[in-house]
Amino acid sequence: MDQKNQFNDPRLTKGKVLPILDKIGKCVHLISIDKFCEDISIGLYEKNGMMTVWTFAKGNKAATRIQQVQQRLIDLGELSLSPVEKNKLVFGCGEKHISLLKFLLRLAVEKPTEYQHPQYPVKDLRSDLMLGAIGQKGTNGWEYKLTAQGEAENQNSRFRAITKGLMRYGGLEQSSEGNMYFSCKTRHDKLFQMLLPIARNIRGVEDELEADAMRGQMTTGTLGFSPPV
Amino acid sequence: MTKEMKPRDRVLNALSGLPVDRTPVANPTNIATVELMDLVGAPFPAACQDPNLNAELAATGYTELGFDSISPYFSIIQESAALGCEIQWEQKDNWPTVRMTNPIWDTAKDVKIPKNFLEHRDTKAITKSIEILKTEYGKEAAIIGKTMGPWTLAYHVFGVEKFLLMSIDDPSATMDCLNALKEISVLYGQAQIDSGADVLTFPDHATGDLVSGEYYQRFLLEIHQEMVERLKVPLILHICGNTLDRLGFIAESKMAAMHFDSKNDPQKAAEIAKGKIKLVGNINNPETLYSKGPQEVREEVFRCMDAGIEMIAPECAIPLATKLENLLEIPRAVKEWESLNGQS
Repeated sequence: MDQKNQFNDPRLTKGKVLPILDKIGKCVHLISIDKFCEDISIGLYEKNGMMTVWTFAKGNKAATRIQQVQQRLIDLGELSLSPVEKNKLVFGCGEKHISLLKFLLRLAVEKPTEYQHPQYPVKDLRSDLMLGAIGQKGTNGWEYKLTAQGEAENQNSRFRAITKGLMRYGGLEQSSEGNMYFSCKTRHDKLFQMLLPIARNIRGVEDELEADAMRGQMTTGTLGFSPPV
Repeated sequence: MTKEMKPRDRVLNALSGLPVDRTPVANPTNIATVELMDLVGAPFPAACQDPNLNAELAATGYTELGFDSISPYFSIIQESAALGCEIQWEQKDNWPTVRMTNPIWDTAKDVKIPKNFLEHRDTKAITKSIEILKTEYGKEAAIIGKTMGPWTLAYHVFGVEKFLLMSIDDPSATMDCLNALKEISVLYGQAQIDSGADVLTFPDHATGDLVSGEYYQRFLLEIHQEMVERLKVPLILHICGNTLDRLGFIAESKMAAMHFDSKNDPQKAAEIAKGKIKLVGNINNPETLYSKGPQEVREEVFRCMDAGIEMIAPECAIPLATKLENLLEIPRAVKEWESLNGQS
């Protein structure tokens, strides 16, 4: 059903939000406060596989910042500008990769502009292993094989946990040989580089996501009437 | 088919049990988000302190989201700020709260309403905002004010733990406190009525996870009945948590409606409330509106509509980072349900 018909409400067609959402689609992730630009909110929206970095804040500073965040997504996440529509981003592989976009947007907005993903190897958080990955062609397109330098008794369980993290936060899949690959089966080295430090720390990431989710919620817990659940 | 009504009439009729063209979508509590704050340049906490910013932000619920009401009192701290409680104002993305670890009073004898209570910046922000909204939208949208009930005020001024312990150790002193504090509820509620509020939300956090239904009957029922007598607009009682155990008592309060939490099954709530009190709610905030998408929002709206809930609303003040598409889906789903069920 056409959105305008669904609403059939003159108030909304006169409003600003509905026509904008009609163009930019659904919110994939929203950062409430951008500490680098006047505390504006910045959202990543998706429609028909095309991403838009958006703020409802007005002014030149906000507009410049949106361009900057867009560039950061290109630099950190291998997104590229759509050849079809202005100021829209797409993955070259044609997929949306929704599950990892929230992490990508957070880095693009919350980290300084000089930030780059950590280089391999990265230190594991629950062992002395130094983690990395090697990309290679496999039966599932471009596959990533986890590597480790050093020794740890819990190496197998750590690899299992990291694999689980890559699947949960990046939407990766596992081949029968234990290698990891993106659902699009194409090469995304920077995204893997972004995800590995996240995947090694599931508990920490979950705590962070939960804290993020609780911020701005009004509950008896957040109001201080009862212990937060 | 009933002739299309103005949103204000729709809300007021629904609260009075009169015919409506469709189920209203109301917001007894906040529906402002960080994106709406950006849209109109009215961020928290300034929008809780400045009447012009407050009105700008509050109006977006009506002009941008398509709700039938406008609610300018976003938080729950305005009266307590004017009473002298220490407020943690927070930033744009979080709720201002009362620092209840530093209570300002000990007993009912301490309860004194400052002379300038209604002139304080934080109480006046709402009353002046209501005046602005009344002028601008008063003929179209229902203006819903809010005055905190004595139980909530008691948490703020005495501290939660101390007040709850008092309610166990000394019920008589507890009643004295509530009776003293209810005058603040009346004073601020009446000020909002005088400014143009059509309806008042009356939050009184005798919540399911803190106190029993029996407590509600013992400590609050009579006070709430008195509030209905004294504040001459429809009152919407708001209590969070599981409240089915006290809904029968709440119905005896003669409040126009109960704004209820998603922890309560709408069908069961409707069965208890039927013919006694109207229900407003109960779209889940943390899981549905914050975390999920329009499809899940629509399903919850349909569940409420199927149960015969009289006004559809989020269960409580929405998370400030709620996605706008989910809020827009609420009125859209109501209209779709009505269309599917041949109501309009």
